[in-house]
Amino acid sequence: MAHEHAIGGHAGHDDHEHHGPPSGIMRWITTTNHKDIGSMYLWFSFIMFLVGGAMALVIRAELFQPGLQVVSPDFFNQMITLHALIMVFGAIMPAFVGFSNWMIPLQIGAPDMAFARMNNWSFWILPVASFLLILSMFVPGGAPGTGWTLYPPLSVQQGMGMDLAIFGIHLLGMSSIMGGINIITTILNMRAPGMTLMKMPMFCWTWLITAFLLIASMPVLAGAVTMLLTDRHFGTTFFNAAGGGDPVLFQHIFWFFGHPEVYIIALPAFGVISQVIPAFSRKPIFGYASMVYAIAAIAIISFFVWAHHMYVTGIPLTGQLYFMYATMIIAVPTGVKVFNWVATMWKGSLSFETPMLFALGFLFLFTLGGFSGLVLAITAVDILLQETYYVIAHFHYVMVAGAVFSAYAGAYYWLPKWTGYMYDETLGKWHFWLTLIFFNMTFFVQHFLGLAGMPRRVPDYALQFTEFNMISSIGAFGLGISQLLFLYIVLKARKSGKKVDAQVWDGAEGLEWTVPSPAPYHTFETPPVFEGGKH
Amino acid sequence: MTDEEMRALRARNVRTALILAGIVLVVFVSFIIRSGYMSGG
Repeated sequence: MAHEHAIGGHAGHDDHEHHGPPSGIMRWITTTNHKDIGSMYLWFSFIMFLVGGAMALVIRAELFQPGLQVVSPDFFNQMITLHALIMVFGAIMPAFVGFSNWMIPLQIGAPDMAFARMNNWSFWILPVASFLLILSMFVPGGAPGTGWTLYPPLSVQQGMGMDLAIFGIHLLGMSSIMGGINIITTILNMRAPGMTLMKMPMFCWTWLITAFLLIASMPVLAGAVTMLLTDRHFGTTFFNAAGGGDPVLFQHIFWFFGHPEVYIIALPAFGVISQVIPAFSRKPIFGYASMVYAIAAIAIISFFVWAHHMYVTGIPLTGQLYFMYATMIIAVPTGVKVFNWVATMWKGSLSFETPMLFALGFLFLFTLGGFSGLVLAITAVDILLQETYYVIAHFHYVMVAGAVFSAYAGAYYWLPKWTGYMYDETLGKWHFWLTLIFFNMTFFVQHFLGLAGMPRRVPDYALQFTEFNMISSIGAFGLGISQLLFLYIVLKARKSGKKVDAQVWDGAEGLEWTVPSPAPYHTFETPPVFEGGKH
Repeated sequence: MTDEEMRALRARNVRTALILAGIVLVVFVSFIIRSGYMSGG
């Protein structure tokens, strides 16, 4: 069993030397403290999760029955686009950036992030960018109706809402790039003495590699939307065949960013799961080194598989074969990770508190999403399933059961450390089971809809799809309402939760558990000496 | 941590960040230039 000891620099001892946080709204606007900024990221992401979720419910309300029921087809398309952009860039990514802000300095024994002021900018850019995205609904022509992929020629032809979305994406990209630079610098330069890279907690490893993915892929998206902007307003023809350009070129560039983006979301989720499962199995993670190599392999391969999103664009057969096999290879390192998580639990002293339940939910359902991904990787199958609800089902198993379940696992796991109070375990379990049941009710049936040929991004459908759509819509509303329970659980913990000690979970290991709960405003001003961390 | 150590850490952090920002700039510009060539210059 691994043991970490923090010698010196214990957080509680540093407090007397420092002022506390200023009071009022200025604390939050001007803060450079990684814990404050982490909290703001987490609250912001939850608010955006509810906004994006409300948009999903508009979509599901429209699809409850065939025919046009609730919204116009144009507005339906706008909801499709904004739901995706807000969930990906406003909810899921900021949630894991929030975890990184809170936990990376605590886990590596650093006093704060390397660039504290830049950290503040990274956060405050986000609400402005999200405001631009939402504002696009209220300008002539409305929000983009292109889907989050923003394919030309439609995206070149759309109204002013597209410009707002492009500026919003630019700002979101800037925020992510600044965050990525901050995380890499912090991890490379500010680890406590004794903490070598191969002794780092797995969550920090996943974020180090994710930050490199951000650095390499976000400028590609920024380039793509910049070219869209110049095509729209400055007479260039990057994506216009009439001027020698090519709309399919945009797809190549977008997916060169888009596929690593999936792993920008998934890798930190893997990191959280790699903290939670050992803690509730009371065993160190199985195969630490292989986990690190698997994360690196997934990240590298993710740059070489982009055209599996484009099998029907007319790429040559040899290209299709290459992208099919390259995509399937990703299953190998991913399989290593799933094997290691299961092997960590093997003969462990398991207990099933809420974080562990969400981690197990992740393990089953993310693996299922991975399998449907393998199905879609097969070119011949994908040509049939392209643009059907099978694709929707697949990526929601990856994004919701993968990323969101992992975020909940992390939130319940670290909430007592952040607040100093324990959440209501019974309510936490209710939250898990309701989420699990309603999630599957919403998305499992969509596999059948897709296999039967129901197209996505269309507000109407043929009569034979009605029953499954009704089940899916009822599940979606249940899933949405269940998430309000999480808000209640957090507020209840803050108001009347039981106080907790520094070591909240008996099986949890790492420097974060050596500081009091709640973690003091300033921690590790004197670097702790890290001993142990044998994996 | 002494003032000197703090200054050295800050200098190292800035160096690291500048290298990373350079990578970002190169990726951004090179994708646009390459796309320009591919779409007929």
